Amino acid sequence: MINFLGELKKEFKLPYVSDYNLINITGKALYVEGHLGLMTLSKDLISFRVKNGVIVVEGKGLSLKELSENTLCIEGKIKKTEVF
Amino acid sequence: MKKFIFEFNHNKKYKIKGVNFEKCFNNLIKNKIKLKNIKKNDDNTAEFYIEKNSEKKLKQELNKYNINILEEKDFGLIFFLKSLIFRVGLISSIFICLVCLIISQMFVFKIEVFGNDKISKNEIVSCLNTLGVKSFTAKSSINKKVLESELLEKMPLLSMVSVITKGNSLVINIQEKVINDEYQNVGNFSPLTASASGRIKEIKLMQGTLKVKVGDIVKEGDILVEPYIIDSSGNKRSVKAEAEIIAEIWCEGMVTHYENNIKTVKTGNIIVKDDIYFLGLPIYLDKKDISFKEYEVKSQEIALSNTLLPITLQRKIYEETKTIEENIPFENVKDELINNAKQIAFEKAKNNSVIDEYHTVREEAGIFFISYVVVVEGKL
Repeated sequence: MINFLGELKKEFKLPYVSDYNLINITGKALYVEGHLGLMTLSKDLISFRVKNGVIVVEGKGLSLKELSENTLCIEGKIKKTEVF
Repeated sequence: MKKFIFEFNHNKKYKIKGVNFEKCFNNLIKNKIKLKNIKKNDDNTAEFYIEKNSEKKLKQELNKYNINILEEKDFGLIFFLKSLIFRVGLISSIFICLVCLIISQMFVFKIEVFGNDKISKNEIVSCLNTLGVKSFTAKSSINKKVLESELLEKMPLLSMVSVITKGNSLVINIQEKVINDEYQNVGNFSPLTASASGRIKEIKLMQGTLKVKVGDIVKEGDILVEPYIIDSSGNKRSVKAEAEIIAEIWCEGMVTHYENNIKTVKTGNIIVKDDIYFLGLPIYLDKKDISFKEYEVKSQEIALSNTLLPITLQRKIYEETKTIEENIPFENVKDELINNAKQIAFEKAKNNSVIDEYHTVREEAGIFFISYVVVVEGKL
């Protein structure tokens, strides 16, 4: 089975084990691996902690498609993703 | 539009109200509880789905954070199947339907006949009835091979019969015999007989051997022409007996009168009793008392349903009767009786030309026999 994130990291010569991975799919979904907990949840803003920072996702009609211990998946119209 | 969610596992949808959902959710995911489709609304409410087995932990966590549950809903195929177990009405109706279906598959509801031309379907069906095959007969009681041979035996005009069961129908395929006079009736011609009594006036023989001559008096049924000829070598050869025989025919109308007569008449009072049978077993018996001293009974069988269930209604109609003794002197009705006898005689005479007519009256122990004879000229 192809590990997509692993392949990408290999390509960009990034360390294989990193703090978190984040993929924005066409601005309609955002997949995050390695989050450390939810901070804010609303229709326009979702923020969550990652190692050494906080990620804020802004958009419209946002919802959490899936939330588990390690991963989360945001659905909606994603306008901006910021890392603090 | 509501989104249709098909899940195999038993999941639950929750609608909650409170504050600090984020903390609560973080605690839940730390306890390995997976949350799906989380939507937060503006009125401090949120909706989400979890698996049924995480329900207990979720409720504990929600209590901890003072979050109220507004709505709980179950989803998933497993939940649907579980809930079916408690639907007694649905399960019993499915069971009843299955039983009805199984029972209905065991019986013949319809008899279909194919390949008949001269023989009517009713003839074949009535023949089958005499052999014990009717609507609602159990399929297992029908031996097709035996039925085929019995039908062939009972109906000589059939050359081939095939019996099959298709669904709830008994399908009879038949082939009729081709009847050809020239071959079928060789040596089997019937003689020409007198259709009425009379005196022969004229004979025109066409074929056969004549057994009467002009002036002979013949009775109805007497042989006039035999169906054979003796050829030049003295051999008997079968031929169709044909002749035109003109005679003075005596057409007789007979009426009998009893001076003292006992008659049974219907009073018009009736009692109807309906009994209902399922598979030949009584399921409802009408227990009306028959209060009539004298009565006649007519019975009829009605199929209440001929496609699904073998339910029959047996109706018995009791008609009250009474016995009346009549004493009518012959002289009072003599003219009427003679007229009746005359009518019968003229009906027999049909349109033949009338030569003579007369009547006789004979009495034996209070019984009067009135005979009216019309003499006509016609073909015998």
